[in-house]
Amino acid sequence: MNDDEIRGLLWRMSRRDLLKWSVYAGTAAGALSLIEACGGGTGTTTSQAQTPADQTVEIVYAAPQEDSGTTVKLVETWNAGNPKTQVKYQQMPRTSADFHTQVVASFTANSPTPDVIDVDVIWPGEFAAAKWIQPLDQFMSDSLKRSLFESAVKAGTYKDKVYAIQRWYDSGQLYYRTDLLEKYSVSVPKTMNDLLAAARKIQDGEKASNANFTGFVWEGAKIEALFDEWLEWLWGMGGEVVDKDGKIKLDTDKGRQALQFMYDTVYTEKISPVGTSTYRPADAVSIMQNGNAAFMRNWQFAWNLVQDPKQSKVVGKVGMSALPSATSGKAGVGCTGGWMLSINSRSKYPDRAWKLVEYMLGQKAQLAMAGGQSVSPVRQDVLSDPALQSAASGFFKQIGDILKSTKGRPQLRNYTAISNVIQPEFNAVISNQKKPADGIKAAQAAVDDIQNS
Amino acid sequence: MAVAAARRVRGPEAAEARLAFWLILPAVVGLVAISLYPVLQTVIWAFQHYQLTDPDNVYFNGVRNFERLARDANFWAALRFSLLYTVLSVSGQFVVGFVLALTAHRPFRGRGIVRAAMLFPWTMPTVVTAVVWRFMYNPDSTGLFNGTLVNLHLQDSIVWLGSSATLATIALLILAVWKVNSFCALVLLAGLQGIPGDVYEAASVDGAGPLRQFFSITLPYLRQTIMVVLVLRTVESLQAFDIIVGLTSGGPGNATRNVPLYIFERGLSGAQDFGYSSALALVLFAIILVFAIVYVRLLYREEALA
Repeated sequence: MNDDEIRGLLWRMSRRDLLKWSVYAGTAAGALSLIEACGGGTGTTTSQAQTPADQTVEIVYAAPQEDSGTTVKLVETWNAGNPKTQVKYQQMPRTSADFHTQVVASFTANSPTPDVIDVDVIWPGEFAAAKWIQPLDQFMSDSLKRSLFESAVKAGTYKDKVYAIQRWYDSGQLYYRTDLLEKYSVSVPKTMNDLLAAARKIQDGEKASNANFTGFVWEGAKIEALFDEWLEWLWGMGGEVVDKDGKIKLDTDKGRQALQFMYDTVYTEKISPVGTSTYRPADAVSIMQNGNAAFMRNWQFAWNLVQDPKQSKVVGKVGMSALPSATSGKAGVGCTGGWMLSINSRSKYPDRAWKLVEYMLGQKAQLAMAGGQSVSPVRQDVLSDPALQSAASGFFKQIGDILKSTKGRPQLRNYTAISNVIQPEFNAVISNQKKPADGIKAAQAAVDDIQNS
Repeated sequence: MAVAAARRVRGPEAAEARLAFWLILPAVVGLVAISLYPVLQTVIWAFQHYQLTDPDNVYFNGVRNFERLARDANFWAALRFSLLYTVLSVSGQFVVGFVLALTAHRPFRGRGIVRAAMLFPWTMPTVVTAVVWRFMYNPDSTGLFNGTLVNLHLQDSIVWLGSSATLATIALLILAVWKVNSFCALVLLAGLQGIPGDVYEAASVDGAGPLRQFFSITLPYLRQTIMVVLVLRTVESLQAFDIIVGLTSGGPGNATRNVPLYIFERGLSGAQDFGYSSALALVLFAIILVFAIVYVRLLYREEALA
């Protein structure tokens, strides 16, 4: 077709025809892309077949953002040594609940990525029940299993299968001001009553010179930590939250006592501020940093913050220990937290994904992670590594004993749902709108509603 | 219909109808895909037992979800708060907005700046303002409000968001009014500017004072505008979500949890009970629909009057 012919054709075609055909084309393209988009949704679980060794693939690793840059470095090291399996680090929100919303969105869209996912310790039950993450037993070697702490594997077990393996630990623990303990000659509290007495004594003494001073600061906002703290006091009294039928049972004698204890710190003993009902972990840290508290219950991340000269007035004056229990002679129990590694059920390359999991659990990566991020590793050979033990922060020297008396939350398919209905009821007690006995009764009713639905 | 007509009639008109059909089609396809499909899906789920964490047990369960909803004290509490929040926040936004509009309507130096400043809260993202306000309400002296009260020795620290349902509701309402009154003011100001000036002149000549003028001229002229503002604000307040999540997350306890927040909790943040939360969403939809119908009626009547 030469230019003249084209010009002739265009002359014959009216403007309306042109418009018409462009609409046909546009509609068809739109419809096709729609079908394509829907087509992706019908995929089923990919087979476990081996990816050919010489095939270059990209897998996506979703993990929370962190400031130290350690995760980025770990992934870079992996990519340099594994040209056939390139890993893309997808940075996820730091807030567990936001991470959860995003990752559930990709699961429900049947997305094959992210392949490897850092999951909060409370998610494996839910994700496994929904068949979003796959069992790891088939991949795991005995030698790997032996090199990890027993609880690292146990914590991610749901219905007798391992769905997630702990990557690093967190736990609830007690922080105390060493200088104030010395000044008022009290020892580190071993029992809950000791804690009340010590906090009272120091608060009475310090309040004269510092009106903002408080004996014991902890997190009473409507967040997951509120339920965890209740568990810690409950476990510290020898109680249990799961009954023999596997159901959540809150409304027991010890359950009521644990909540009563939390209520009493604010309203009866008055060693914790009335603002406790709004405190999140960061709020408690800032009170401690400003020298306005003698004791604090918080997660491990608080250690580096109270020891940071740029933001803390109490550097070198803080110690940490396991939480107190109800009876002397027995250490209290910290609730474990932290993140675990899991693999997407729809991952196209589960075998390569597992290699990444193995790498993250290996001695080298664990050592780099623990040192870089100041988090507790899941391997004894890493925790006892001289480099960590002699680290200036003193974190790893103290953490070993604390980790010994910890306990994980139950793995349930509807854990988040259950915790979500407990939090507001407990928060209503801590904000003095309900009495502890009523709050725990209401929480039990809400939990039963979910367990029976 | 356009196609059917086109088949029977031939000629230029038929061609026109065919073209019209094809021109409209992409928009219809788009609308069905992104608007109708999710709505229908929600309706279907509302009659199903469907929990994401229980993928092997999905089945139609009739009106069970709605029966459960009728017995669910949490739902009724959330609905009660939704209505309370809507009535109080809309009244507050409207009254403050009206005062602002009347002020900005009068000529004075720097009026342009004042009008721009007035809109400022409305232009900021809701979640951002809500979180910033949460810090301002901090229970100790680090919060702006408590810091001020304590430093002026007026009052001990107040635990705004964590000591009582009433206080948290008031704190939320203050934010809601601050955030949106400028929107009401903007729309009402536009209405005010549409009132012809000579009406006021004539009234002045007849000896009507400012109050009389307000009630006999301003209000009647603004009737349509006022209705539109009220209905729009009502619908949006019934759907309020980000402002509450950012400020109180529904606390203390569940004191400030409204229906959208409850739907979110049941459907997405944990329970993943899509069946039940879809039923809840359907009920909220029905309530909002009533207001939407009122709104559309008002608009049509306005057109008829114009």
